[in-house]
Amino acid sequence: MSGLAHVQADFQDYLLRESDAVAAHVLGTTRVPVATRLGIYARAYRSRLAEALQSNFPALAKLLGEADFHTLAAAYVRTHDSPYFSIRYYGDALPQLLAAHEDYAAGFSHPRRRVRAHP
Amino acid sequence: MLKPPALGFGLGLRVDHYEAILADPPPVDWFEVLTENYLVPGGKPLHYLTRIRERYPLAMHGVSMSIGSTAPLDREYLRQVKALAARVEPAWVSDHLCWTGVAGRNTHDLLPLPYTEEALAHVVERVRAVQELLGRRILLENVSSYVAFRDSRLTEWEFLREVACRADCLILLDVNNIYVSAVNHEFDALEYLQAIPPERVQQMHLAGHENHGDYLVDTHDSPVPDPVWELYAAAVRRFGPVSTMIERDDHIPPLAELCAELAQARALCARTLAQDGAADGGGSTAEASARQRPRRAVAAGS
Repeated sequence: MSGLAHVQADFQDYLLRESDAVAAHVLGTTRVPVATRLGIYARAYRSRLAEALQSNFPALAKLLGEADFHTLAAAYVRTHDSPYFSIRYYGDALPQLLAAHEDYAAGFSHPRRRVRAHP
Repeated sequence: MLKPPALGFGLGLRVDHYEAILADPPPVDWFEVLTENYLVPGGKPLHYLTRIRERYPLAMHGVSMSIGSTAPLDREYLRQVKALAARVEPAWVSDHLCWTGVAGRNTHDLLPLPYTEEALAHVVERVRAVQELLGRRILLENVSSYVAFRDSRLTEWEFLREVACRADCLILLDVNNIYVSAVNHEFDALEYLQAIPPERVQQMHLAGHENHGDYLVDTHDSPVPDPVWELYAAAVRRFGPVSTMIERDDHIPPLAELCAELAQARALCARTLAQDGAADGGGSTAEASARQRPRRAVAAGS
């Protein structure tokens, strides 16, 4: 693997899997250490994909309410990478995740109750 | 090398403003559109794009080219970009000097490259391939960054300059990104501007960022702050009246507010060029004087 390919594989593994091999490739300063610097990318990755889920599933976000949707989005982002060139397609496996999860499946069988719980 | 003519002062086209633009066309010279938003078979986005294109020049700005990735170029994506360009006839097509993912994955972030000879040769080869495929010269934008790589042997500005010169592409200089990276990596933003060849700069971006005390994060969610305006004035002195636009991606205000901010950019550019012209005794054009007097600039950077 070339030097560039190596750096990119380790950087992506850090974002997707929290692997720490990337730390060997990057430099920090006294003012801003490596962990802080990398953390900016990790947070941006997670929040960007979670926001995409919110825009791609606005009705579901409304139905679940902010806190529940946040929990769901975080779980989805942890377990689902994006293979798409456009973020507008991210979230295609969300229905399967919901169906496989008891709490959400129960919620959908009683949608009115969920709506009342999160007005 | 012929550059496309300058378009003046523009804004990023945002969904929230579609109706306002059509109802009462604002005093904006051109719009920059986010390429990926229109890579769809039809519907509302393309409807509005067509109607706005009837009234304004457009530039296409993408985030998915991943020009620095070691993964193969996404030829299907590039085919779609080319088809969209044929449809809207943009003044130019731009993307970022970065990578977004490898191994079939997209992080949807504009990730920095190590500034090595290996990365440089790789990017140059891919820019040439993309330009051949699209049948046009592209613009590449400098991204803001938060990490530096141990492998880097060139500065960011040397890397950007070498990519542009060796691959014969143009530069979209993001003034806010230079400022953000200058603070984060403790370099001199003016030294960056000095290293960029004026004949390669086709467009400039202005935006806001978030101040975290020890570092800045490029958020595009607030008005252009004073240090970025100062650096913009220095850029105008060096590069002349380059097409400039304001990029707001979050907390998008009413159109009138962005138009007022754009008027500020227009006025600052005119004032800066006039001052330089006057300082030169009026013997040369403002643009030429900007290029002859690059060192006379405000302190900026951190």
